[in-house]
Amino acid sequence: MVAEIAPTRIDSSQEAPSSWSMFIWRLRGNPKAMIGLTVVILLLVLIVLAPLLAPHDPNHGELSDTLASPGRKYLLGADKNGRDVLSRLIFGTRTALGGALAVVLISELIGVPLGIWSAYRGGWVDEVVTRVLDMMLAFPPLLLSFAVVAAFGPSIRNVVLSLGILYVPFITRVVRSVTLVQKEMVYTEAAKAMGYPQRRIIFRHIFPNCVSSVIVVSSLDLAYALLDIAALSYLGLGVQPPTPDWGNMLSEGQLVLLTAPHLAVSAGIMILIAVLGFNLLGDGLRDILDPRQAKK
Amino acid sequence: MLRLILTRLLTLVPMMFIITSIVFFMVRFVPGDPARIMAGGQRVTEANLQNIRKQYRLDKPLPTQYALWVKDLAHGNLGRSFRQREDVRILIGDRLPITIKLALMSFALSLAISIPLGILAAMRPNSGIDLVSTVFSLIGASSPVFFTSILLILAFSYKLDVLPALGRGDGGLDTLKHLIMPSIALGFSLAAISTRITRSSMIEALSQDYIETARSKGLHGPQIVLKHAFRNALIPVITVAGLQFGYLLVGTVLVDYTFGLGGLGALLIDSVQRRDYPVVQGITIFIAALFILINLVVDVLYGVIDPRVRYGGRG
Amino acid sequence: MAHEDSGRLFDQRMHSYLRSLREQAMSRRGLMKMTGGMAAATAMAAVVPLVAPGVMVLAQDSDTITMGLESDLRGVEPALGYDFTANPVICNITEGLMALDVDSKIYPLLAETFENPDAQTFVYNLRANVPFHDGTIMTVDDVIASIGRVRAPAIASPMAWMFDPVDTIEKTGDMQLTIKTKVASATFPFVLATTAGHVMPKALIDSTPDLPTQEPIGTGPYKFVKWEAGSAVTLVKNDAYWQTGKPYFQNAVFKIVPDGTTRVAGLKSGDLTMIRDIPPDQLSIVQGLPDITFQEVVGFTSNQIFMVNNKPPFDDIKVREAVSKAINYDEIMTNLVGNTGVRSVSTTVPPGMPGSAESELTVMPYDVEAAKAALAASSQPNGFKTTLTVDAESSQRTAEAQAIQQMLAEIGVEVEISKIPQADRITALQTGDYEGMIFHEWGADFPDANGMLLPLFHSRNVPPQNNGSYYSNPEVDALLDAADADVSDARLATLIDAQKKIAADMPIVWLDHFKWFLPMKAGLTGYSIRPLFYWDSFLRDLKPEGA
Repeated sequence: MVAEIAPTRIDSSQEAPSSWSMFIWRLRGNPKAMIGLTVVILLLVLIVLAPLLAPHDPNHGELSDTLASPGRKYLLGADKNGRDVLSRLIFGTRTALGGALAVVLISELIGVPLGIWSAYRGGWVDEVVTRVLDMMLAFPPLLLSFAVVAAFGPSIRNVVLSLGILYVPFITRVVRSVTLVQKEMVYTEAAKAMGYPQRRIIFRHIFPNCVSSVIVVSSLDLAYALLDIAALSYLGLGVQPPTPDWGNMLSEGQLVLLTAPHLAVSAGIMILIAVLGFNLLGDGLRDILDPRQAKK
Repeated sequence: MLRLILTRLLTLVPMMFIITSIVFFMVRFVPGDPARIMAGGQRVTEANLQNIRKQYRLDKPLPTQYALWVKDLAHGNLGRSFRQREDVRILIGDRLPITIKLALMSFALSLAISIPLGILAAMRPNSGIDLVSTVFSLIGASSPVFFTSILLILAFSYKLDVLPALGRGDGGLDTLKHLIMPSIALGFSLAAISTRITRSSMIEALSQDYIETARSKGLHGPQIVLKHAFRNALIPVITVAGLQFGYLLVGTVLVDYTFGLGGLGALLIDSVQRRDYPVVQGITIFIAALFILINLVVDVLYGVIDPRVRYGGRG
Repeated sequence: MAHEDSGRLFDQRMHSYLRSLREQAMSRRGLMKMTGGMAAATAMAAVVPLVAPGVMVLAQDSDTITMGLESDLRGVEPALGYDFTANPVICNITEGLMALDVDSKIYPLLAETFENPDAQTFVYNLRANVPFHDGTIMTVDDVIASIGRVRAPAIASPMAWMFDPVDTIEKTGDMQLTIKTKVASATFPFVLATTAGHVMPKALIDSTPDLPTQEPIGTGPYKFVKWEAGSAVTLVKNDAYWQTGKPYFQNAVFKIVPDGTTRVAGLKSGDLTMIRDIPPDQLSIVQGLPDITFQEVVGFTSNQIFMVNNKPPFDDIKVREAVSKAINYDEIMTNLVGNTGVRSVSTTVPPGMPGSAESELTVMPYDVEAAKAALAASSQPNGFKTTLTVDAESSQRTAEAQAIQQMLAEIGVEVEISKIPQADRITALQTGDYEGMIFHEWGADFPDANGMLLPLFHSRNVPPQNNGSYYSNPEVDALLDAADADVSDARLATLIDAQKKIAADMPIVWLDHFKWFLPMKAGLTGYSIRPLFYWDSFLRDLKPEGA
């Protein structure tokens, strides 16, 4: 366990954000973030270089190789249709990560402006928004998303849309509290007194200070989104065949667990590694960027 | 105290209303003829279909259906399953016991792990135990609960053959045996999260000055310690319960499905997969109501135990 | 998914909790006390399930038959008994005037004798002194009420159509019932051998005219005890059963075990006496189990893929030919289907059924070159896109669908797989709401070859009926109609003719005739699985070892 290098506390609420080199230096010193970052970069490599890295065509299978055990021909074995598990896992990264990214982007596109505006306006607007958020926060997104997807039909699009909307409170809450703090800051009052237009205040002062919090929350939300998407696919409500998907592979694997455990185990470990990577990265970033928040 | 309950109830009522409305309208936007679906793919004549429509009020205009449905809800009637022609609340009632058993066992297990582990880790930060707790939390939080379940089945049922793989058993001791792996899987997932919460908050509390003051006052008397210990042992239970209930719910549904326990979760997912709308509606409402109720109970209990919260103190 | 920061109250709570913890001098002792408390709490929670009421434990002794069912029952009402899980249960509780034996021949059961004086008249003489489970004796009124129930719109029985040919039903004697049909029907005699002909007391029927009963009463070898939805149905021996000496087992429990692997495990461990549905990849495991007798029979069944014949591209016979020849179903059978069925030889009528043309037809060959040639000569020489609809819940079917997708890609046909819940697929088949290709399975209601042809290929039976391929050939229509009205043996030749014509038209992709399995504990005798097992009581004649 690396001892935390005694940090020169950089208060991220200053107008000038932490300088880049300082950030990198702190990043290097945080093992969690480094490991997480490595995993994430590896996943991105898998996405981009999938066709090069995958030993077989993920969608083409030799039926006679059905449920082949891991060996020379198929490093992680083959599935029921004789398709290579490793290749399908590699290509599955695109679906998983792509979906998670879409969920987080949607939630931020709605959540960030909402949070800033609500906190900035204050008053009853803020009250209403907070109440609604509290209500939404109480209920787990997966259950509601489940009902939505079940009603509108299983597809990755519906999964992503419903999760994206249901994840809004997570980002809005954080952005809102940062904005509230910013509002009280002297320089904001000064700017107001000097007659700066609202938009300028928001964009120039408030927004940049939200960035670090947004980054941290994004990383964690990506982890949760990966898990939720995997759960929905596992239940048969997500990606449709023959597109390779980790959750689907896990549920197929469970059906043949007795005779061919390699399918379920590799799919599950893949999910675990990906989610772990984002969790580590998020945790590490939080330590670095918001040392105050880290303790909460 | 009363104020607390009242404010909570005020949020409760609109929330229930909104959720029930969402659920009601959502399932009616689905394409397809519900009457045919209910007939379950059998050869039915138009007369039969009309009959089904009448029975399930599908022939009435949407607002009337809604009004009647709300009225039913007020009377505790959650509708009738398409597929099994049985009252939804009876179906829920049949499946509830095993779900409750699973939830209780998992919850207890998660507390038994997370609270001691979290506290120890906080008391000795950056030590070996802290590393164990961090690794445990991270892996537990990153592994989907249905994957953990599958690994347990693989290890203990298929390879070692010591525990039954799936199903809920015959009751009593046999059911308990069937619930061991599910509780471990879910408890492990829950513990991962609550360990982190306990640890991080403990670290914060430990850095306060008044701790030393209290100690120097000699709060060691056995009676005081016992009274405090008991009271305080309840606090983390309730706290974590309130925070975790959402995840407990989701986890229970997934574990139920994965292990084929035939509980509420399996019913929900089966009904979703089979488009049995009334059951999906009924269960969602039930869960929402339960959710709100538990949150209320947690808040109230907390108010009872900790006077500072009761009187809205700054603490 | 819980998030760690969770609102204002949380902060408050955590602060107070931890402060008080610390205040009580958190020594090692204090911590141990707390851990002790937690352990005690866990122990208590573990004990709760024991104390709380649970499912009644049934003595797992040699006097109980435990059967594993693959899904929950839809109901226990005979008028709704039209599926493979409810029927094995229901048929032990209620019985009909007639029944089918192991060779699918009808014989009188609750009727003592049965006469068929002319093609449209059916006379049943009831057995005297047959008691219901509630002690009352079965009369003609009960039979008439039971038939009326199947035909009642409120009940919406899926078997109501079976009585469509009926003209009159009359009590023509103290214990005699006469049914007249509007036209001659070769299949009507079988109706009363199905659950549509099962008899319940009139009093019970009158007490619940609009809703299916949850506590059926019949004349059968077992009495209904209870149904725990999602878990099990329990039956107990009918000591006053009219066939003295039977049944042989005191209790019957039907456990619902949706997972195939668990069912097999139950069979292996002895928890389950018998199961019926086996996952294909565990077939060899089950066959190899010691202490198990393995029964199998090819059902009166047919799996096929419908192609929508009345719209492009499948309205062109060359296109259908190309698709049919591009599918290597033998390979799919070997690797995915296994021995769970026998390959269909270009007809839906299985070889075991009288009137099957399989001996005179040839199986569709796998010939990629011929397929490409056919496609080139068709209306779609450059290939086309289409959909294949399949059940989401069936891993085997989805695997088959993906294999077919891959095979058709080779000849330039792009298949999009539509995975939908089984209930939706069946609805789609009824409403005609599908395009391209769709999986379909058919099990005969009656031991009659026309039952595998008329509903599927007569042009008037397009959706909402069962001709899902919209096949229309007037010559075939004529032959099928003729066979239907013909009660002599000449109908078989007519049906063979029809099958040849259908085969030449290639309207569907014939897959296989699937088998029924019944592995059970060794030593039990008295029952053999048969094609129409779903109209039959397994347990009536089942004898323990040495009996």
